Amino acid sequence: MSCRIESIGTSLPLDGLSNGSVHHAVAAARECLALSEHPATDIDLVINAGVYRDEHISEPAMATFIQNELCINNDLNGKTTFSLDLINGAAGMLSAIEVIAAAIESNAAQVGLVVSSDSNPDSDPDPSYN
Amino acid sequence: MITYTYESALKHVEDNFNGQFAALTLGDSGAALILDGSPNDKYGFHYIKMATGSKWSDMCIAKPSEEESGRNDEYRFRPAPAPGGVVQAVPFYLEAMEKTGWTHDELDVFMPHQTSRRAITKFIDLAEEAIEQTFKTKFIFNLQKYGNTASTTYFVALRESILNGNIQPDQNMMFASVASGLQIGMSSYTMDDLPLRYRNYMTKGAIA
Repeated sequence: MSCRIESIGTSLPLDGLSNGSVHHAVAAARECLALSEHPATDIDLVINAGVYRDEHISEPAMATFIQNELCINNDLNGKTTFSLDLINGAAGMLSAIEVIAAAIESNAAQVGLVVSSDSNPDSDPDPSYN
Repeated sequence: MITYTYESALKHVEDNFNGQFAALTLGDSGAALILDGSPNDKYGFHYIKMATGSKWSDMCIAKPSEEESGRNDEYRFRPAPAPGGVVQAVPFYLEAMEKTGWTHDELDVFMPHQTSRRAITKFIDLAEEAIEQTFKTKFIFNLQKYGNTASTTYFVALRESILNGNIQPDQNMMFASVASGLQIGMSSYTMDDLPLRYRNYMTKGAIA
């Protein structure tokens, strides 16, 4: 089975302010889910392809914070969801689609969420750092 | 980067209730694997399941320290939910065994993420209680030698276990993840002739 784009959402920098990458990812995913026929609980796999990580967090995957904010099967009870980061520069979302397409094709997943967001990782940027 | 984390923690940790205690075991390493198709259904991965309990995603976070120069990592670790992660792993183990079609006697090697001996021991106690038999002799530990090498622990331990003869062809293994996120995973695997090939390469000096 091939896979398709069922819904799309974005979070845009309309006021030029940065609220962190998780904030943008969650906002985009909320719009995406609001326009989707799938409830959040349908999602089997969350892949975050964002490159810049809030507060330069190296562990855990930023996708885990995004999954938790979106309340997607986050307590390991009943249906579960797996979240991971896949970093591949500006091609990350397409690489994530490739992974989800393979998961759908092999029946390891029925519904996937690809999310990406980039924002200044420093909540309090040093003004001398350009 | 990980060694910096431990160096940073050394400056702060005074007892095992300190938030950076877990960082003291972190070590640097690298690992690489080549994967290809299994020759038949007997060998290779049989079942892989990963799930994320993101409710606990802020339980264990590695990030640059606010107190240090920016070079060092602070490794925040809240010990209270850690046993929770281990508790969550037990049903995943039982499910993996059932889906693979193995009895508990048929499992030869249990390869956990090398986090802390206390967490692994807790898992063993809970799992032994659930299956009503002993299986602590099947566990691989190398924490005392290399520390917690984060993303590479399974494969640093696998290579060494192959070389010291603790893993043999035809053995049934379970790779078990309880990692920050909270990432719980179980992967059942039957070893092919890799231990023989690998030991042969090493004997011939083909690999430094």
